[in-house]
Amino acid sequence: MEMFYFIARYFMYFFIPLLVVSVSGMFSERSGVIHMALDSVMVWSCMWGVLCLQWLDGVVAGQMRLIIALLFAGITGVLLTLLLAVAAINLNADQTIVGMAMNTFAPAFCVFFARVLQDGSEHLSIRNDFLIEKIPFLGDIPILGEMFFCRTYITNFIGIAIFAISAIVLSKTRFGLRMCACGENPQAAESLGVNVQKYRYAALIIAGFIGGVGGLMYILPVATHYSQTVGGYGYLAMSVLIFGQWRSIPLLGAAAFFAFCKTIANAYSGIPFLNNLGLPAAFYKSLPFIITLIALAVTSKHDRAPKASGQPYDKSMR
Amino acid sequence: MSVKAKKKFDISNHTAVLSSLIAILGGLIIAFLVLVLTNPSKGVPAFTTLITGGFQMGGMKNLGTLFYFATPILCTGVAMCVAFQAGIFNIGGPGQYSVGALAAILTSLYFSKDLPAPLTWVVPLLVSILAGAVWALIPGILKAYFNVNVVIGTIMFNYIEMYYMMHWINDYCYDAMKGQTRAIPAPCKLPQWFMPALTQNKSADIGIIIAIIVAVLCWVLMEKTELGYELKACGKNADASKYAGIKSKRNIMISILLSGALCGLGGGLTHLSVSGTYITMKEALAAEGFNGIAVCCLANNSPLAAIFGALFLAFLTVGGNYMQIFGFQREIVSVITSVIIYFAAFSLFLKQMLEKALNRQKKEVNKVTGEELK
Amino acid sequence: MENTENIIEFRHITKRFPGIIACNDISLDIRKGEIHALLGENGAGKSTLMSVLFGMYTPEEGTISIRGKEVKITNPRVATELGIGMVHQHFKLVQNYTVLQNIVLGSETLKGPFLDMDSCRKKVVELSEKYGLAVDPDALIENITVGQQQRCEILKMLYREAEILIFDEPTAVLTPQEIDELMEIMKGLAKEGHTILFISHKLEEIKRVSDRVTILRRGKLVKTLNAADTTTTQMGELMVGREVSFHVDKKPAEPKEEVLRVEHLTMINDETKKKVVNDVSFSVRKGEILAIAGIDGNGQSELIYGLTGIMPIHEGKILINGKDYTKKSIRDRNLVMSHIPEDRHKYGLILDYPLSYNLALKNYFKPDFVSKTGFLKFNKFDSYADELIDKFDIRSGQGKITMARSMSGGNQQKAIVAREIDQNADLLVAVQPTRGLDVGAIEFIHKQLVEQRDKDKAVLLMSFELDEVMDVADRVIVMFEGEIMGNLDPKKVSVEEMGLYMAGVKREGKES
Repeated sequence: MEMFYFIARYFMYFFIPLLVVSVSGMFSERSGVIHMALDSVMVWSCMWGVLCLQWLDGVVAGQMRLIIALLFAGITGVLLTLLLAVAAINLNADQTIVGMAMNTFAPAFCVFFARVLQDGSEHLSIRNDFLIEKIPFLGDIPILGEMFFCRTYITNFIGIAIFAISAIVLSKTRFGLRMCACGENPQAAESLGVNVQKYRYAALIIAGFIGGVGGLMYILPVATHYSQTVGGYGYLAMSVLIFGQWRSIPLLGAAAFFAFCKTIANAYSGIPFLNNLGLPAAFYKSLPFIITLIALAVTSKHDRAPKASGQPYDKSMR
Repeated sequence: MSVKAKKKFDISNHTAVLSSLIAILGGLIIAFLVLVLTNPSKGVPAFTTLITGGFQMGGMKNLGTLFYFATPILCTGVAMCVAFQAGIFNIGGPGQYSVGALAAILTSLYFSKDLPAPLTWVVPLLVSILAGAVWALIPGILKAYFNVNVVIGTIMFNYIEMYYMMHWINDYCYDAMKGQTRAIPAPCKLPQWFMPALTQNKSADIGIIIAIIVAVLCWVLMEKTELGYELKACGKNADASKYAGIKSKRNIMISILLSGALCGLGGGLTHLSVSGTYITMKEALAAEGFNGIAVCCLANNSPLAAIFGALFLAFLTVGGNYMQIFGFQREIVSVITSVIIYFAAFSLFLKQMLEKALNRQKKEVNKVTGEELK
Repeated sequence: MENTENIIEFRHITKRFPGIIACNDISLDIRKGEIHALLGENGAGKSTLMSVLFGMYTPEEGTISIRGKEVKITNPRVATELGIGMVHQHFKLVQNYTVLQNIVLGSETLKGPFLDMDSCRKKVVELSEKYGLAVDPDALIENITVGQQQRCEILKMLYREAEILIFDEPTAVLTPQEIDELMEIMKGLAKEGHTILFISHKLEEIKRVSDRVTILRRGKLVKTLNAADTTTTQMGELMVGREVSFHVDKKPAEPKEEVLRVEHLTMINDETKKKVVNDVSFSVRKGEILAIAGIDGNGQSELIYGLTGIMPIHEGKILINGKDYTKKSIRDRNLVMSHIPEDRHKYGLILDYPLSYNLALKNYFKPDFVSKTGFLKFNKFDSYADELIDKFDIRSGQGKITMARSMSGGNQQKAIVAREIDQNADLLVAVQPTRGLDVGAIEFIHKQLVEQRDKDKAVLLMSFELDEVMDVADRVIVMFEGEIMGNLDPKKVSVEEMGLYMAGVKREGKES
């Protein structure tokens, strides 16, 4: 049973950031902008979030330090995503290439910056005192309590909240209706007085914030220091988005599936059965990526990608 | 005579070069700002070092270093040009490059070192080409037959390579003392011919010459042959190509395999070089693969122009290494690279703006001379 | 007494695009409550003028007054606030939204932070009952007919309480019966006090429904007439600036042996699993033009794609000159069948290739054009391009090196027609060959089709334009929901009867 709880917690560590970052991608792509740069937003915001944690150490105590750092990471995420927004919305750029540019930029800049900051070392250490041993009452629920409410992070609940609110915003509000119309048929939206550029900017700002928060969420449970990588999580989140067909509920399932693979990949040495198979570590580590490809091969034939996704919206071409 | 060659000195040719220059300028400005903002006193000399490629410090010897850095990114750059022109966004450069490198190392260690003379290095090089192509094979199949986004497919293969690389190195060619791959046997290294004399650099070899020849051959392939006509047609309009009876699946496979092979060649040339290099035990993607994208963007997808793009980026890399004297990290070169790619993403927009501006000028000139503009 | 109060006054409107003046000093008054038609050829400026009124373009010169007050209409939102609505020629609907979602988009009512769809639905249902616009508010756009989509567009305007309604070529996609219904709806709307602006180039319709008609030609206003006081002939003359024959001159057909034979062809849409082409059989013979008529979206496009190999077929057989081509590659088919595709930008041309490359698109792999070693023979490319440019009078800025993208639509189409006709294949498949072209170009292409027929080629023409079908074809098959409804002789069938077949109301006894 201990093993089960162990896996369940590990699962959450991977599941939440994957879910959150793919929600970030969902905002961007449903509004019609391909977001290849999720990975760079994570790397970038993760650094700022970690730095913020360092600055606040000793200034603010407890969970508050984390919450402020999450907000800060979100804001820096917005700033970086604006690069994509300007290029995609105002300059009719090739959005895939912009994404690649950002993916080149963020790790390089973060190494550069961290080394400047610390005179040579690029690793930023994280003092992590955010683990919640047990949430009162909820932690006492049999099985579920042990799985989800013990040895947990506040980010797990923030992540779920981000997902739930996003799902409601997309399907039940005026903003969601208009934003998704911009991604499907911007000409139609514009003809009804919806300002496509404005909505895409709004979508990308939200995407940037959520992506930034996701970056910091990723690193907390899995690492003691930050070294300019998020283990390809941004790309996995993109795959989750495709696998989840750009829709909220399927996204939940897709994220869970990938997180499960990732859990196996990381926890296999603690699972006797898998450990005894004698497969190399490389196999387990690359497993999520292999499974992603298989999953995409099965689902990609008919995708329900937003129709205008990736196409620059040119007002003069009606 | 080709259609292009017959073209008069066209304004659109100008704007393409011009927008590349703007991209470079943008990259340099950002680099300058970053340097000056992080350390105002050392920023200016560091920047000067960067843009002079360190030549005032290293002298002519740097030319050899320049060629050494240019060789891999020329190969990966041409690889990207071929793939992008065919509409295939091969981001798998890092994986294909590293696999090529490892293949060259293993072949020379275990097989080719006892072969007769030129085969010692020719065989590993061919194997590296093959290995690069193999690493591109599955993403190619997934794209052609299962419609899997090629960007995602190749990126996934980069990560698979990253994790397996350490496993393979560890099992077959690990030098535990140094924590890196074992050194290549001397006979397997590339020949040097006249290169040391030319560059005044003892360890210069013919890698760059091979890379340039390959770039020219790829240009000929894309511009002058039936296959090039088909590949570009697929890249520009997949539907019309299908309509014309061009087999799109076959062309996807050809372009991505060719692209992978070129990346593999890059890895082979670098690791068989006389200067020598090693793969370390680090979970990281090879930067040479990604830098190919920048070369390709600078070259506006032309394999011929990629030669200049690669030399330019290598020039910056050399400068960036010297810049470390001032306490700056050479990652700044990657920052410049990323800005160049960023600008390239809206080069079409830049080109249109430039054309509009130039046309306006032309119109005004015509008005003065009283010509009717048609 | 007639209402003469002006609701819209255009004064000296001028709108330029690179290379052309789309609207040239147009002044025009629209009266409240009238149905006012704008008549003109493609490119005459009628759509541009309406786009200016709807705020999609800003004119360089001139003013617009609405209800006596000068206004600056900078974007569609302003137009909507002024009570102006527009049904665009290509509907502006979000395909995977419901009818209701499309109607409320941009003018939503809220309950707290959330959308209040219930009250919206009530209002939409009321409106659709009042004006006889039957459509299911909860159906997805991608699942309903074009006619229903148009009703959704009209509801969109009414929902926004538009008083001035602009219809941009509303009948182009409808059956004659649906057109009748639309005319009634339009009259009903006018009776309720709405002002209707109606863009068309179909003279009969204008005569039937409108009170007044304004004729535009090459960006200039020619004349405004009372529809009752004019004839279609007179309007036609004013429209093109000369007397026009709406008739294609041709001898009676002399069909010879069979070239194409299609047997029990069935195609299934991958996603909806619907049979988009259902058990279709027909044949085309040398020396005849067979037209496929029908409303857009009844399987004609798919049938052509199946025939030319672009889409897979599910069941059935395709025989060309007696040989089975069902499983042959596109390249093999291209050798016996030339194809002027429906969408010239998607299939017909590689826009970023020069004209000479595009003209060689079906030939580049033949020994004349490529050496045994795989190198292209650019001399041949150039001389072949010159030949076709000369023969078909293809005009472009820089001749054969012009990028296809920078050519005009008419000349792009001419290039495709030239390339395909020069293939000299036994079967010519022409799909919507005259879409978006002006009268001169249409005449040219019709002449080419007839000429091919007279050279003993088999010609298969697919068109949504009933006039074109009636004029050019020797024999017509009508498709409805993927099935052939009839195999008809255009000389013996009236347009109205054809409409019944197109609407699926009438069906012939089984025959091939």
